[in-house]
Amino acid sequence: MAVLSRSTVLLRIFLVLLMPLISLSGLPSASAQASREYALKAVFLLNFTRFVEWPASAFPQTNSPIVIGVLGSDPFGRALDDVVKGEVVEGHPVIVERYQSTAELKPCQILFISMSEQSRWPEVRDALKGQPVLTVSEMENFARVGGMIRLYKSSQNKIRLRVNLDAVKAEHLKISSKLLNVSEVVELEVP
Amino acid sequence: MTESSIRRQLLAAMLIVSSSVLLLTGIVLISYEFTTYRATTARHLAGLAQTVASYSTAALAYQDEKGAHEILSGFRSEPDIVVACLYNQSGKPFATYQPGKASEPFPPKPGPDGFRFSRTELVLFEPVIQGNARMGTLFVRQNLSSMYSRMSMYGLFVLFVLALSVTVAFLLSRFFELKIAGPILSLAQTARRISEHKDFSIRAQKAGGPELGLLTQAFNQMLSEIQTRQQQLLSELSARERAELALRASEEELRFVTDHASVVILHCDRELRLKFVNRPYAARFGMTPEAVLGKRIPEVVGTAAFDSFKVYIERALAGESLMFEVKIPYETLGERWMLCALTPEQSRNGVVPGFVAVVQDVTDRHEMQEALRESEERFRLLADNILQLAWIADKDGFITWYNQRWYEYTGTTLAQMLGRGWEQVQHPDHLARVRQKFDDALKRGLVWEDTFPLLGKNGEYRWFLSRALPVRDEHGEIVRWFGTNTDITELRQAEEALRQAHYRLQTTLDGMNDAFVIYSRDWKFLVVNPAATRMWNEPAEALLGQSLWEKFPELIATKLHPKFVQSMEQRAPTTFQFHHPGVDRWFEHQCYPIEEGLAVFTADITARKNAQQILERTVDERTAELRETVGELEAFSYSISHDMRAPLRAITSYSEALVEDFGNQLPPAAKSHLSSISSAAVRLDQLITDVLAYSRVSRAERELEPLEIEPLIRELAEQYPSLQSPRAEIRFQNPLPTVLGHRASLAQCLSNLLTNAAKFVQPGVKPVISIRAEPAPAPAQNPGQKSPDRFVRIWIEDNGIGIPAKDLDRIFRIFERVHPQQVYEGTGIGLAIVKKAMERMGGQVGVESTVGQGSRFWIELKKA
Repeated sequence: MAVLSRSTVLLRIFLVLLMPLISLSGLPSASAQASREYALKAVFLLNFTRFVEWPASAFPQTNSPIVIGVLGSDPFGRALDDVVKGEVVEGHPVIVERYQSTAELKPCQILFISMSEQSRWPEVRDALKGQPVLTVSEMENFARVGGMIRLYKSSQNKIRLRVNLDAVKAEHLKISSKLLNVSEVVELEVP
Repeated sequence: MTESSIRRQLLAAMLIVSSSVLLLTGIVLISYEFTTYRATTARHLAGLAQTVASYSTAALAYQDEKGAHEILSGFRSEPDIVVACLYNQSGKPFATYQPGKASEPFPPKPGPDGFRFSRTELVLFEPVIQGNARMGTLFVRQNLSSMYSRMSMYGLFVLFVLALSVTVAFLLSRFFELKIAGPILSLAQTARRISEHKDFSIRAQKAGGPELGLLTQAFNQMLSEIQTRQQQLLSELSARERAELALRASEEELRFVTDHASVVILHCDRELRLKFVNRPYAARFGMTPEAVLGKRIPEVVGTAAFDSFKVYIERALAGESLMFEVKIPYETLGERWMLCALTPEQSRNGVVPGFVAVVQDVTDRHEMQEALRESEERFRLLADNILQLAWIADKDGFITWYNQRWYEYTGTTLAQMLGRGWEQVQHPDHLARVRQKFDDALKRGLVWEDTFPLLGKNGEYRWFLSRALPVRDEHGEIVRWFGTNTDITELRQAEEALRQAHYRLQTTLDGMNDAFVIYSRDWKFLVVNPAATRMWNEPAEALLGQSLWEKFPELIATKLHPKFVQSMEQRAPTTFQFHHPGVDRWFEHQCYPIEEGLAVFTADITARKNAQQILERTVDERTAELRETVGELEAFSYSISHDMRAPLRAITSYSEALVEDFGNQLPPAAKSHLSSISSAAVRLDQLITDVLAYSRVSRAERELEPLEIEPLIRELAEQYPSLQSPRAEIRFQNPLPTVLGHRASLAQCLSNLLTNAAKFVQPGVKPVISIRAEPAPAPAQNPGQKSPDRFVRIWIEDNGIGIPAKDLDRIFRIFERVHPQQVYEGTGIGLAIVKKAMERMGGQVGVESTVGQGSRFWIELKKA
């Protein structure tokens, strides 16, 4: 094609200019990848409210909220707030609270301990002792060091659960067998 | 009934009963099974699905596909489930279960919750709920083939039982046939034998059970009864036949009589149903008696007709005998007057069972009566409306009736006028005479006629012409008189007026000096007045009834004859003068065609005629004298004009010589004066030339010769530089004809017209002169001309300044000018010469003009 019409040339220039925009929007960036992962984890956190049964003492009143606490630097951003918005489980509205340090901790039903608190986990664990709080974290070996549920990535790059049933039972929480069916249960040698 | 048919019916009955029971049972059972099985299947699948769904909540919540697969494989216990699928919250397939080798399809998105049956499958969408949160949807499809195979097994079983029952029924029928059909068949055979041989003595054999035995016994009893009845019947029959024959003969007699009666006879029952009618009755409606019988009267005559006599029939049915006349509007026959006699039948238990009617058509009689009545009415109407007074008297002259006019005129009543009451309105002077003449006419039986005055109710008498005619019966005896009185008062007045008019006319005619004669259409003298007898010199008796042309044959050769005949035949009034050669006198005849012929007034005008001739001679003499004087005068003016030119030329040439010879010695004022003298002299010379020309054409009395116009114009144009190109242009629009004229005069006219056309233009405009010819307009304006000559009109059209309408009449008069000398020079004689010359040549001149556009002059001359 030796001669291009004027309009064809213009169209090509336009497409060349547009190309970077197309490629930017087409490929998910690293941060987008991360936010999607935490969006999924936020849903997982919410779903725990449906598969876990708290003792009646956990709620001052029958319509008291189920509080999902986030300790340390928050990796969810707005995703968690969006997920729990308007959710009510068995009469309990679900809300999110954020705590910067152990000192700020308030009574809650689920506590997500951020990676930033890894070094302070033993303090936290001791502080929560005797309280019916489902502890969740991404920390390595979380389930083996007194944590209840650890979120980890499987070999197929899928987010899986590892449950320390002893820790759960110790605080009188009941986890649905259905949840256990889809989780890895950690057997700890009796100390 | 044959043997085989009984057996076949028995067999059929058993088969139909057994198979229909079986079929119905089978259908009900299978339907029930089908419904319950379906419900069970659905319930079972729903239970299974609910369990699986409940277990799959966590797998869905935490996206554990493996776990989901394991849960779904729980469906393995149910081999009919061909596919299951778990959809996540957003409706995407999350995990599937497909046990078969071929991958069964599943919907890409979950449908509405619940189960649905298709023809071969059961499909279910089960919601997956944890707590109150929906985690996703479970889809299950179950194959229904096992259900269908079960249903078909049922069907086969039913068919098998059906076949079995048919066989059993067939075998049973053979057995029952022997027990039931056998005796019936033997009874049937016996009955057939009886009917074939008409032998009622045969008896059936007893057989079978008690019911059949009873049947056979009853059959035999019936047979013997029939046998007895048959014998009785045979003996009764002969007696009845005789009676019937006699009855029929009497009926035929009755029918013969009634059919030939001129009246209509009918007999009908209470329901108006016809039980008997005679032939004339049916014939009235174009039917036979048989066709009418059994019908109801309204059906035969029509409802409208029936309504007209319904009331009489009701009375007859109440037991009354009636006779009446009634007008019946038949649909088919129109309105007929019928005389009817109704006789009710003798009543039974107070109810009349019917009636007999005898009816006669009396329409003709009715019409006659009607016609008579109408004729009477017409007479009254006529008599009351004629202009005459009319009356009728008996044979003795006793007046019994007057018409309405009589009462209107006299203002009397019949009571006053009855008999001889009319004498009251007679005039006393005439009464005695009238009475006598009237009595005389009565006595002699002759027509009575008299004229006398009668007194009107306004107190005035008017004259009447009265006549009366005797009316006689077939024996010639006078039965009555019919009289009229006609008012003739106006007639008498008119007669009087006419008589007076005639008297006045006669007096006038007698006293007239003019002769007055009326000739009939064949020229006989009808009326002659005394003056006419004097003119013809014959007594009236010798003229009246005689034919004009026979009495005076010498007149046929004179001018009188054609004039009279023309006036008579064309019915045209005419007046003419006639010199009677025989008596040498002049007469003026005025002829007026009238109804009877021709009325002619004739006056002797000899004296008047003589006076006129003397006058004419005097006029001729005076005219000749005048013409002589005018000729001398013209000659004089010609010589004067001619002789004046010589001194004028001397003035011109000497003033020019003066300027030429002593021009430089003269002061400018003197030169200017000399120039004025010279131009005045030239103008005077021109004036004299024109006056000469005018007088020449006035006197010219020369023979006309054929002249071609176009060469003449070309010659003229050569002489005048002002008519030549480039100063002017002459265009000939069409070929110009040859005319009759005088060469010099015509040349003079044309040159005057052409130079005028070239002269009267706006300064700077080139004159263009168009010349064309056309036939002169129809009324050739030349009164002196006897035979209509053909004239031609020559148009000379210019593009000049035109002439105002107010001046158009003026320009042909001598010394008349429209424009002052200083603007357009000229003598004011040119057009006067043209007019005079044209008149001399028997022609005409005229002009049309539009100011600013040009003038169109025309001349008319005879064509050569």
